[in-house]
Amino acid sequence: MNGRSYLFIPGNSAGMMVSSFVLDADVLIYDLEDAVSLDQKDSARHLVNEAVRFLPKRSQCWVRVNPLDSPYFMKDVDALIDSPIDAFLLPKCDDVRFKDMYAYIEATAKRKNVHIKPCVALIESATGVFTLPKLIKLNVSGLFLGAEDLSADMHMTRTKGSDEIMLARQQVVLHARVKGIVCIDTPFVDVDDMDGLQYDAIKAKQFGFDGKACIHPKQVSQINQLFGYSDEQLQWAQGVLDMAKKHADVAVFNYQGSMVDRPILLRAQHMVDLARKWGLIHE
Amino acid sequence: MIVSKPAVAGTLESNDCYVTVLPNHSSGIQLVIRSIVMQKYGHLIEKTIREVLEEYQIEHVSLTLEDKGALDFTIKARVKTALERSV
Repeated sequence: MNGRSYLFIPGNSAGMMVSSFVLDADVLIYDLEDAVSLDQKDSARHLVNEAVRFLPKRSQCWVRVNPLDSPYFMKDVDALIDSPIDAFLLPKCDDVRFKDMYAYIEATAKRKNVHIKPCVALIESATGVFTLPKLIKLNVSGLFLGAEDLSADMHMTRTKGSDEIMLARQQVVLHARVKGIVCIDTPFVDVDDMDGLQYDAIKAKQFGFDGKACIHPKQVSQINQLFGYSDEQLQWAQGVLDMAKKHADVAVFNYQGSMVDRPILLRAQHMVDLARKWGLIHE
Repeated sequence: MIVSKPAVAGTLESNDCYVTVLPNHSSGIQLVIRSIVMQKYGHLIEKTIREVLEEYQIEHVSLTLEDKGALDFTIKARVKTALERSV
């Protein structure tokens, strides 16, 4: 499920949907929740459902459904459970809400005799952050930080420096690593401030996030670049793997003056695998 | 399914279409399609609409579709939405 950029597409915008599949986002998230007004929920559900079955697939495709306590959650799941989407993004998650939403999704998949989709939890409340230790014991496939709702819930003031969400960022990454799942950082909402985006994305990467949400297509390439690998990094990784083949009979060897053991080898392999997936390395 | 009240769906934005359905209890299926690509794709738009009507087992309806370059999936989605809103 690893991606660098996760682009939100409003679920009722046919035009954005048509253009979305030519963009370079690693994951497209069709949004049935906040980007859709209440009187268009039915319309968006139909549009997303038809789009994911019709449009050519270049990226992973997720759908953010409506919250459990809305009248739309079950309808969203019922419509999309047998569609070719790659994951559900579940909003307003804490351990209890996630468990209930997952139970409904699992039961629906069973009823329709289809495989259950991976479910990614959107952490955007104080309870969501606080109950992460319990949440990762459930069948969660990824953690996604939503800082805007979290800030409202925590009575915090959002700043471009994002110091106020440091604890939440650390908690999300920590629990994702304990569970061994992907973690995605909150979007940078000022779409005209590209320097701000750069600063925020670098910070998120330093914290350990695998990728970052985008709310505008123009944010995608910058995020791909920051969360991807440079040519030098990939040359190093490929060099490590090449050297490992020559030293298959030893556990530790030297590459460019540095020791390479199993963790380093795994990291190099992980980098090359992802780079291949993102089209940075061609066979 | 019976169309029992007027309903609309979609928008007049680029790549979208605007669908209006009206009850019509005995005159069969009456379609009006307006599109700048009517000559080239009108028959395909009509085919898509008729497929949805068949799926919903609609026998009587007056349906108008104002096309702004919608792809097949958008036409299907907007027609389905309008029909479900008309019940």
